[in-house]
Amino acid sequence: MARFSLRQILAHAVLLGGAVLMIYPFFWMWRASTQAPGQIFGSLHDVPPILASIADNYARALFDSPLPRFMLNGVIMTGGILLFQILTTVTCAYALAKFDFRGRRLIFAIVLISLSVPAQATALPIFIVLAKFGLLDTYTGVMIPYLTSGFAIFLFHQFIRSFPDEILLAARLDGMSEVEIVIRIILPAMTPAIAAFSIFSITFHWNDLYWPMIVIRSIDLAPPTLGLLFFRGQEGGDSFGPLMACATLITAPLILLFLAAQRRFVQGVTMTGVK
Amino acid sequence: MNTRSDAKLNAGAMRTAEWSQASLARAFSAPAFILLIATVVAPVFIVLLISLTDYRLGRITLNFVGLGNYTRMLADPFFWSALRNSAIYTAIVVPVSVFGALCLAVLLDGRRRSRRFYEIVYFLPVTSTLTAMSIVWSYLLNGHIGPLANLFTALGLPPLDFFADGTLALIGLAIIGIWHLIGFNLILFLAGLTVISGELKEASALDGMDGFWDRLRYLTWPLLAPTTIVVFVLSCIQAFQVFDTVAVLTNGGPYGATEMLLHKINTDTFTGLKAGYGSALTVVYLVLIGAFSLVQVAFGNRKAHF
Repeated sequence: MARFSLRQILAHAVLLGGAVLMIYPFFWMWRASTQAPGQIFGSLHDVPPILASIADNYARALFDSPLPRFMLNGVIMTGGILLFQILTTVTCAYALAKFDFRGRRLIFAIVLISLSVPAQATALPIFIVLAKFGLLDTYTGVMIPYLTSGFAIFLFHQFIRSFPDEILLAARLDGMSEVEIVIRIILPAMTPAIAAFSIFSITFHWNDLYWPMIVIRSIDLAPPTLGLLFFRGQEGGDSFGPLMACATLITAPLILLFLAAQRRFVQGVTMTGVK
Repeated sequence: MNTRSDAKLNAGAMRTAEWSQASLARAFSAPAFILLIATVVAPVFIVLLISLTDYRLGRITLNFVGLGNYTRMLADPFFWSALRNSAIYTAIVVPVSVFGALCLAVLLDGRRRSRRFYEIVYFLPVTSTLTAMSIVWSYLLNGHIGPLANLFTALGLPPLDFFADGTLALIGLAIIGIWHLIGFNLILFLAGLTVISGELKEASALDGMDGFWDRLRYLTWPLLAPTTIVVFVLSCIQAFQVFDTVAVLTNGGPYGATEMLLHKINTDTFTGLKAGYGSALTVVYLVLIGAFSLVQVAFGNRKAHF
C-alpha cells in the first residue's frame, strides 16, 4: 500500500505542478497590477499588494485610459453578434430539423461546409464590400461577418431533432402558428443549447483580435483586445502597473463568467470540438 | 416530416398544408441561408478569383495574371519560411499539448473530489483573452526582468531572451500556445475517458496490468484512439491558426523568425495591400485547414468526445 500512496502523491504532484503553471500568469498579472512602478520587477514575491498602488493603477486604467469605452464596445459587439446569431439560427435550425422541403439538403450542405471555413479566409472580400459601403470602422463592420453561425445552426438542429413531434402536432391542432411554436415551445426548450452556444460565442468574440484589427481604425470603437494594444502603444514603459490593471479588467469578465458557469462553459467551448 | 402525422387531414388540405409548411420552412431558413452565402460561400469564391489577379487594395483596376501569384509564391522565400515556421510551431505545440493532456487526463480520470478543481484550473487559459495574456507572458519569458530571469540568475545561468532571439522566439510563442491549448485537449480526453472508463477497468483488472505507462500504452491509448485523432487534428487546426500571440508579441520578427502563415496573409493583404498575392496565400491556408477538417470528418467519432 505504501507504493500505491507514493504513486498517488506523485500523480498529485504532477497535477499540481501543472496547475501552478496554468494559474501563474493570471496570478502574476494581478500581482503586477497591484505594485508601484519600482516594485514590479525583481522583488515581486516579497512585496504584498499595496493598496495605494492598486488604487493608483486601477484608477489610471479606468479613468485616464478609454478602458470603460473599450469594455462597452466589447459588450455592444459581442452582444449584438450573439443576438443576431440566435435570431437567425433558431428558426433555420427548426426548419431544417422538423420540415421536409426542397432546398433543405442544399442549406444543410452549406451549413456543414461553413463549419470548416475559418473566418480569416473570408476576411478580404468582406473587407472590400465594407469599404464600398463605408462600413469600415463601425460596429456594424465588426459584426457583419458573424451575423449568423453555421455552427449554431448545426448544433441547434441536432438539439431540435430530438424534440418530440407529438408536442408540435398538438400545438398546431390547438391553432398555434409556427412563429408562436418557435417562440413559446422551441425557444424555452432550447435554453441549455442556447446557453452553451452563447458562452462559446461570447468567449470567441470578446477575445477576437483578428477581425477588429482589420476593421477598426479609431480608438473610440476598439474592443478590449484592440484597445489594450492601443493603450500599450501609447503609454511608455513606466505605466506597467496600469497596463496590467487594464489586462486584469479585460480578462476578468470572462474569468468571472467561467467560474460562475464552469460546466456549461466547458461544454460551450468544447463544442468547437464538434465542429 | 411532420406532415406524415397529418395524414388524417384530407388530401387537398394536406397538400395546401404541405405547401404552406414548405414555404414557411424556407422563410424560416432564408435569413441564415442568405447570410451564409454572403459571408462564407461567396467570399471563398471571390478569394479564389482575386488570387488569380494582381488586385491591390484601394486600386480600381483588376488584371488577371492566371496562376502568377501562385508561381510567385513558390519562388517567395518569405512564403516558405512562414510555412516552415507554422509547421515548426505546430510540430512543437501539437505533440506536447496532445500528449501532455493525455497524461493529465489519465492521471485525473480516477479522481473524484479534486477532478473538478483541476478541470477548472486547466481550462482557465482556454477561455482567457490571449491578447492580454500574451503581454503578461512576454514579461514572464523576458530574459532580464520577470520570474524566469530571476530563476536563471538564481541558478547562475545566462539569461534566456525569448523574444529577442529567432529560434527562442518561436519556442516562446509555442510555450504560450501549449499553455493556451492543453486544457482544451484535456477536457476532450476526459470526455473520451469517461465513456471508456468502465471497459478499461475491467480489462486492466483481467490483465493484471498495474504500471501507469503500461496501462497508458496498451489500454488507454488504443481505446482512446478515435478521441486522440480528433484532438490531434483540432490541435493542428488551432496551431495553424496562430495569430494573436504573433501579432501582439513579435510581429513575425526578429527578422521573420516567427512569421507564420496567417500573420503573413494578414500583413500582405491589409498592410502591404497586395490583395491578389494575399488571396493566393489564403487559398493555400484554406486548403490546409480544409485538409485537416477532412481528416477529422473521416476519423472523428463525434460521440467519442462529446
